[in-house]
Amino acid sequence: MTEPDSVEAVIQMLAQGGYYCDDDLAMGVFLAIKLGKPLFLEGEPGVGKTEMAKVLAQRLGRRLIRLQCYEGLDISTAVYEWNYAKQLLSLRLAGDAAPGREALEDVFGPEFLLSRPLLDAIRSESQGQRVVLLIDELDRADEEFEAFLLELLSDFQVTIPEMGTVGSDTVPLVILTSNRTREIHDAIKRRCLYHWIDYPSPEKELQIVRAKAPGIDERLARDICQFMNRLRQDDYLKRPGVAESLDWAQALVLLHRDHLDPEVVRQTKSCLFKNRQDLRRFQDGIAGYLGAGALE
Amino acid sequence: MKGSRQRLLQGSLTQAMLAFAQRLRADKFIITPNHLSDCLRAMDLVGMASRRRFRLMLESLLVSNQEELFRFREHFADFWQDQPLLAQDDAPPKTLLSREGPAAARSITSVQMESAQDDQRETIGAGLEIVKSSMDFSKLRLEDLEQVQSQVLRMARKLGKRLSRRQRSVKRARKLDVRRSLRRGLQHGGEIVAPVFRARRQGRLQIYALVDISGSMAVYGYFFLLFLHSLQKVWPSTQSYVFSTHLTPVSQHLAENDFGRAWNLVLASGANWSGGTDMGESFFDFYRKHLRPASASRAVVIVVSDGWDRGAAGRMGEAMDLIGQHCRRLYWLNPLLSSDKYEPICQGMSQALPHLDYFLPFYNLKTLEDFCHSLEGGGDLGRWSGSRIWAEACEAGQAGTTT
Repeated sequence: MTEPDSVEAVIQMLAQGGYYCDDDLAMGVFLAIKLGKPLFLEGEPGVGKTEMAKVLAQRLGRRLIRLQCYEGLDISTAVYEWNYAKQLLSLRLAGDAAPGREALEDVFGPEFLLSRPLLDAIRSESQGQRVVLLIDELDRADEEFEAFLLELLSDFQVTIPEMGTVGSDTVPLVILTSNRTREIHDAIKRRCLYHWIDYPSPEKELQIVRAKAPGIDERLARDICQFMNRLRQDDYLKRPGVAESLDWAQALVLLHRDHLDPEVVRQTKSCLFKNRQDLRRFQDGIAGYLGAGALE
Repeated sequence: MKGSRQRLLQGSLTQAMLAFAQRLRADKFIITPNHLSDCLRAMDLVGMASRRRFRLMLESLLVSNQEELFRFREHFADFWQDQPLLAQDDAPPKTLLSREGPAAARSITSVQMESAQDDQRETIGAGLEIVKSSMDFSKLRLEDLEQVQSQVLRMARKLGKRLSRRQRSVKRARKLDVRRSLRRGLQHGGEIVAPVFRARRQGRLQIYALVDISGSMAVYGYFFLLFLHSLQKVWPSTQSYVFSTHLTPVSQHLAENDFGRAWNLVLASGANWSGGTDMGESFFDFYRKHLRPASASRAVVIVVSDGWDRGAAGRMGEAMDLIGQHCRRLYWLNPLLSSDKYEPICQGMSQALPHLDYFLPFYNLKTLEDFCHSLEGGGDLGRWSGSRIWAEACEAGQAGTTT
């Protein structure tokens, strides 16, 4: 698939994949593709950061490699590991047939290397297969891992002490996401393009709901988006994101509803909130969200 | 012909870009030559037809967090508005945006310190050479700062060392580490000579510190941030925030080597200094955005404040309840505990008390040391248990009702 050559082309390409975005995000994606720089996406949970990478990979016809970050993530899970069992077996076999010394030099070859996502991305690129590398929820990883990423993000190469440096001529399209539970170090951000994804406008959300919940009643879709928009202006502990809107819309479609009323909202509130305090607060406020003029 | 005009425009645009970068740098944006060359390349790609597109492009390249985004937009509007986008003039950078809040706060701190200094002269005299660890921070003289700083740094280093020792002191729960055993075995031709064991690492403490920097707390806030600045060097996962009307993360500023510079960055970080303190909202914000659920079992949350809350009644109690449920230990350090007569009866404090694990004084080096000791898990803190103090206050009929 050809690369988009303008911001409009990016918007259109993502829309074909069912991802609707404004030109600000599209600008970030466009520059990331053209300048070969990583794109760093921040935003509240459920606004579609991960989804963006998935759609992008699909529309560009590239392989998506995803690295989910967590506390304690280390090089052997993120980059590479030696296949010890295989090394041991071949040592045993070699010991029977040939002098062991030769075999010892051999066991640190590419065939004994287990690629983890980051090395996998670089190797795929060097073999001519373009990839989209998604490094998801970087804020969950430790600072040490961030420091390691610095080398990777600036040179796109990995040094394996026993083997040498693995690099590629082309650069993978890297998307990093963060829910911002902590600040990511400036050094990382300086190497990336930055974009803050906000909640979509009701109009944009309507497009998304229509695309993701096919067969939804037009009035219901509009009701949902306006309802969500009002909801997000209130101060909940975990404000529902687009993901919640979609869950809710799909639930309402299953229930064969064509509009919102207090009864159905109360029954399906578990799609929106997953927290006791929020649920209680929401329960008290339903009438207000649905009230006079609220959904007109 | 068209080519030469294009070049001319490009030239003036490059100059304007340089001037704009200068201006951003003056406002603490980090703009490297790499950024600038990326900008120039991106201009070719995106074109200059739309002002909005031009702004979005620069935003993608030059902004690195949400706070910067708002400042960037101000600068952009101001800088590129006055002149046509492709104007020939060499666009001198404008003066920095004036920041009244931090400036005011800076003067508050210095005024408080100066006046305290005068009191000190009367009571202690000018010949004092060693700062006693029992001396109240607000009574310190400006020239004592350096000495206090070095003591605080020493304390933080000691704490850092003790905290990291925690992981090594594991005696039981040994498990064979197959991967490492096999790997070591390779040296002996595949025979496992000395098996390697794996011990469960004790979870590293995740420290979150929330420091009140409203007017009444400015001096104590300063000293606690000084402590955090040192602590962060030895315990890098420490996350620090300041709050008054809202919460601002400052760990990145505290990563500066020089505390003076770090302090100025904190002052300039947009925290609202002059307004009242809305603790409930600040704490909710902290819970919602910053307290990582995954680290709940290892999290230690430290609040440094005098408890004067101007927010809505009840919010504070709710927020503290939530935070208390999602961390291992919840500390509150209060400078007002320096007085024996202090009773935690103000609205904020009485709501927070039942949820606290520890309610400790913080007003001099001695109290800071005690606090460090308790963080390491030492010392008998029964006397400072938050819920116990609350229960006593209730019995005496002095604490307000809580939610």
